Amino acid sequence: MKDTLRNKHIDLIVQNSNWSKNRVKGVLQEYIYNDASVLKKFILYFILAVGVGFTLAGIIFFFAYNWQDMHKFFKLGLVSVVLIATVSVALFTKVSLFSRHILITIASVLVGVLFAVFGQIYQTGANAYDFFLGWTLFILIWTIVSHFSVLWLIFILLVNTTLFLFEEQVAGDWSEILFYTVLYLVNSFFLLAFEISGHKIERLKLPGWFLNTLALTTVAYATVGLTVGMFDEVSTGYWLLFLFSVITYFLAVKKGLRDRSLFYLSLVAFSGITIVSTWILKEGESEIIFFIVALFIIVSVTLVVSLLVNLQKKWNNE
Amino acid sequence: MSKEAVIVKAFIEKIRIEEDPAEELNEQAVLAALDDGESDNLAIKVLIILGGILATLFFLVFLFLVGIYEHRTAMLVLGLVMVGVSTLVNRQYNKVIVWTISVSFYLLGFGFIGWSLIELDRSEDFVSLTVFLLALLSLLLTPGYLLSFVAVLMANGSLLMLLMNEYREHYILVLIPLQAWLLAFWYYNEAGILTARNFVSRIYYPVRTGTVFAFMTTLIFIGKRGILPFSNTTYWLTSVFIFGAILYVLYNLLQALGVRSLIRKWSIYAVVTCVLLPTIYAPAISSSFLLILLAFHVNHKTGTAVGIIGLIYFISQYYYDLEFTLLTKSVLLFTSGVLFLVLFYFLNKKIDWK
Repeated sequence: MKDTLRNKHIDLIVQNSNWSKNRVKGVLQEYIYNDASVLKKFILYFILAVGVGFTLAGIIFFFAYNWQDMHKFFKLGLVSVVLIATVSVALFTKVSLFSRHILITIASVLVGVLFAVFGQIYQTGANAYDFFLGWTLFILIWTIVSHFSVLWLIFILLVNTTLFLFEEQVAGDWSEILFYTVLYLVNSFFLLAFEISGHKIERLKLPGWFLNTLALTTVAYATVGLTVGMFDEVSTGYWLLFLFSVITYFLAVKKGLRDRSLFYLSLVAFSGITIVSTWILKEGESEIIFFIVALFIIVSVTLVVSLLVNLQKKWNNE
Repeated sequence: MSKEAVIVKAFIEKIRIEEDPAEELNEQAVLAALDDGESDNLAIKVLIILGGILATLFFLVFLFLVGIYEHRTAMLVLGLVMVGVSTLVNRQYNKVIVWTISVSFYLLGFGFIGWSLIELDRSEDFVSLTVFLLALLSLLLTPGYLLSFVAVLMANGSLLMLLMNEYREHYILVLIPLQAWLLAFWYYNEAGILTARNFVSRIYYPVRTGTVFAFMTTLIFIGKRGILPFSNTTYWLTSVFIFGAILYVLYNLLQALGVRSLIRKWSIYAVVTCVLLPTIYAPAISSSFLLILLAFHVNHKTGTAVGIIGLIYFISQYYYDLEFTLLTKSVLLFTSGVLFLVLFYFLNKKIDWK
């Protein structure tokens, strides 16, 4: 009952009864608040997360410090030994699956540290795009095999960083619209792959927070590309991104309706409203256009919200 | 009957068994009220607030382009009318269009009031104080979720502006413990405030979420070095009050966890205090930790998420600002990290996972 009964319901009951304070307190404690077992688990994972985070940050800072008197082989060897040790513990000892995932995630970060130390010694630069590309490629197999959401998040972050640096350092002649199209396509590829595989095979389902973050990023790229690109000369590239976005937005709406989740629907709606508002603004000649845009936003948000509320009511009644 | 109604009905039937004969519960009224009220879906709330802010911005640009700032008194009157209308209309009608427009009108109204008062050559203090009082007043008048939430943020924002004026910055160090204890009081008195059955009970939930965001906003002032004009060694007294609040929350948590042994209780207090002591000059860190504990205990997801984001940000900012070499920072982080891992290992062995 804990997942379905909400504070709102308790509130309604309180307002329509003469329940005493202690009675309400008891009900809240029993049906709404987290109980002892959940609290224990949370505290434990909290300590684990802080521990892993601090330790890793410590290791990274240690190697970031510009060591003058440490021999390069010793330096590289040290990271390698820590890396090998972490992977060995994950592979060969009897620990839980969750601990293995954590260890492989730590190892994936250490791969980055190893490459950074290498870059530091041979002066290849710490923000070169090929540094991040190498890092991304070398943890690819671990990421796929472990299929752990935190590791996937790190992986996708690395892919995006690589793309940004590549555009900055190599592909200077890319148009803005091309760059955003690439970002959009890469991220939507992962999103689609995760959504489809998770839908087909229960075991491959990734947690909602991860998918939602990825969806938010993907839609943000499409929205920025389509609004910024509008002010350049509109090319075929622009319409290509437009077409891609229409297709994925259509899929997102279908998914939202199928899974009865308002998140995807609101996301697509908000992106659409932003794009149309920018277009109105761009076409306008006089100051009255700002008034029209404000009006358009109010009307469209109202329409979308009433639609969503009605959908929610309909789903609720089925 | 809707799914939600089925759940609530089942719950009421279940809870009736243990009922006191003196208790009365109007089941019909509860079920009828389920369909009323603003949607409690997070995506919808965010959509409305974002839409409201955007529409307000464009409308303001329009009004300034056509030169409304020349009519200062008219702007002031218009602002007051807009805030008043949105507060009162929100009270009367429960339609989607009212939610969206009232949020836009409310923000726009405050924008007008603030701007016209500045144009009328009022001092910044006068403006922030007026906005603060009006926000509080509208909070008392409106029962709507979104408006109450915005009103809390508005009140906190104007209060911060007031404090950042004219060498009054030290009061922020007083505001933080006050907000921390208010938050603890608010979280732990859900039953008490709801059963008071007055206007405060009606805005309990929006005020709770609003205070969480307001608290985080205030914390940025001490979490990032250089915003306040004094050194962070003056922060220790603030920290002491926050530590007190954490120990109070811990006391409640230990009760919920069923820890009875006195030795165990005191050793937990001691360990937590030792962990907190190094953060004595960084109360933003301990404050986010306090928020996480509070929010997770009562299962408030927004509060927990905001607390975790705050904690990560303030810890990173703290280490970034530290004037040590990378080597010292690394040793500090590594040792504390390993200590936490040891603690985890130790606790993981002790807790039996049924």
